[in-house]
Amino acid sequence: MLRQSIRRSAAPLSKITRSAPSTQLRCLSDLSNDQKTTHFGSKTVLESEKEKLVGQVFSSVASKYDIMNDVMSLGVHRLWKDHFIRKLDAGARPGGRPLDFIDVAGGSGDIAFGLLDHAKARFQDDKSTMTVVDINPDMLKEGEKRLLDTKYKNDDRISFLVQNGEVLDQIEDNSKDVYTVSFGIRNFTNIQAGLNTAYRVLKPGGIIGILEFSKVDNTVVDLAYQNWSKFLPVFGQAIANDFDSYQYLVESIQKFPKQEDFKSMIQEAGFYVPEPGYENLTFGVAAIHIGIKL
Amino acid sequence: MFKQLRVIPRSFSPLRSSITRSYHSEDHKPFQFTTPQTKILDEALNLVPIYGFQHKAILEASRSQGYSDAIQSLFSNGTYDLIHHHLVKQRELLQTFITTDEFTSLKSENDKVKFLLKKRIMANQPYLKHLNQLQSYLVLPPYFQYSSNELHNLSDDILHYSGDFSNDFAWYSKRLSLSSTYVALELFQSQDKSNNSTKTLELIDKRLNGINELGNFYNDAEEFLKFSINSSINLFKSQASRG
Repeated sequence: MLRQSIRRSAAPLSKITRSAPSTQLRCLSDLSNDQKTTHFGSKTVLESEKEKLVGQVFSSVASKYDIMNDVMSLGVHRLWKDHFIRKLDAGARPGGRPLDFIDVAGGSGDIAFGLLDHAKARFQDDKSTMTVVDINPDMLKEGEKRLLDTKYKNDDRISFLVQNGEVLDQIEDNSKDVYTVSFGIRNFTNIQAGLNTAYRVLKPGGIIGILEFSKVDNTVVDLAYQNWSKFLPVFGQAIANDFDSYQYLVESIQKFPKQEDFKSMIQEAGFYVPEPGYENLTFGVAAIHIGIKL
Repeated sequence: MFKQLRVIPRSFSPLRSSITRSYHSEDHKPFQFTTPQTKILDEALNLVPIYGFQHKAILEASRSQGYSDAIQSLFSNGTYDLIHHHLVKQRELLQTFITTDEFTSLKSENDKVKFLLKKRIMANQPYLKHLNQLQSYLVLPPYFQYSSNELHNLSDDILHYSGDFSNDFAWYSKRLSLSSTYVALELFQSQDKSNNSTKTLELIDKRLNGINELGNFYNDAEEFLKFSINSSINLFKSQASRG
């Protein structure tokens, strides 16, 4: 019964992924740009299609995003996000100029509201501005809906923009102080392009904070984690009636570069990365990366 | 036989440290003086006499270097980042003294230890008014582990630079006694009202002579114990061979 239901819900997405030639297309130098391939979970798809496919995933999970995250991480994602916000400890200190925050792929608004709450509580900062951008209008609508339940509902310091994090064409160069992306950057078609853009929009002295799933550094925990991951699509099916989207989420986590490699990518974009470069959370299930534009 | 397992923070991070097996101080990773953090923290140390060991010193230092307040994310341990920087920096600066004629002309290990200890204690002089504040941070539970590691690194460095080649249990006892001496001296220094901490410097001489005597006592005790054990074994053997 469950298997049939899974198959039914998986059908539309698998149709899309099947339509993309998989093994024949590799990143060969003689291929034109629109023929280049990338990974979409464990599948190989055209780069030009990944954005659309990820969009479908998040449109599909938007309304049940939080409850699914709770189930998948056993609620730990809230602790990670809290720790991320506390670690960044961002906000204009008394006597300083207000900061301009940008939260990329921040449709749900968790981090954006959390950062502003932290700045107000710690530094009495109620002047800094926040731009929440997300490539997916459905996720962004979810965030705007949540905004109405917060004290920021009539606050013009927060703005929402539909933007591709790799381009951020409506965000000016050297215009932001703090760039955050939480559990979003692994969905970028070209992660390096996203990091380069972050470097572009940040002011000198600006900081990039990235919270993302990563690689577990403990063999025993990794074994448990990998097995737990196998059940996540089933939870996705049971709670959000969506097997494939959660299958993608699990596979995209597995495909994401490990801590040291990702640190190198941040440096490649031009950021100075303070030692040790990242902080593992829960044995490396997630990791926080920080960089500074000098 | 007594290999040391020491935790040396590559750069301070309460949640992550690297563990390296090492025997001598050459294994300490060189301190990076030129990273953006250290530049800000160096400037912050200059402001400590004004603001004390407080996050405000870091904040004003970063602003004076043209950074926005966003850069504060680099210092998520707040004041402790500044204090740890002071400890590591002053320990590293001891290296600059070991090539001087004044140091190399000293004959005994004990004199060299005294010399380096005095240099380290005098490095606290600009922050004398705020030394109590620094000490109270060091013993706070979240930071205690890192403070004690750094204290151990200090006594390890001082003894190593002074030519300590002990490879038995004395390795531990020397370092432990030097660490406890350093803590006592710094506490004394924070209360020392004499001009230029002269009383503290006198105390260094007294305490280190004591340590030297303790070392002699330890060697004598060890020799006596070895002799007693050997005699007992021989006595036992001789009795056993007689049937």
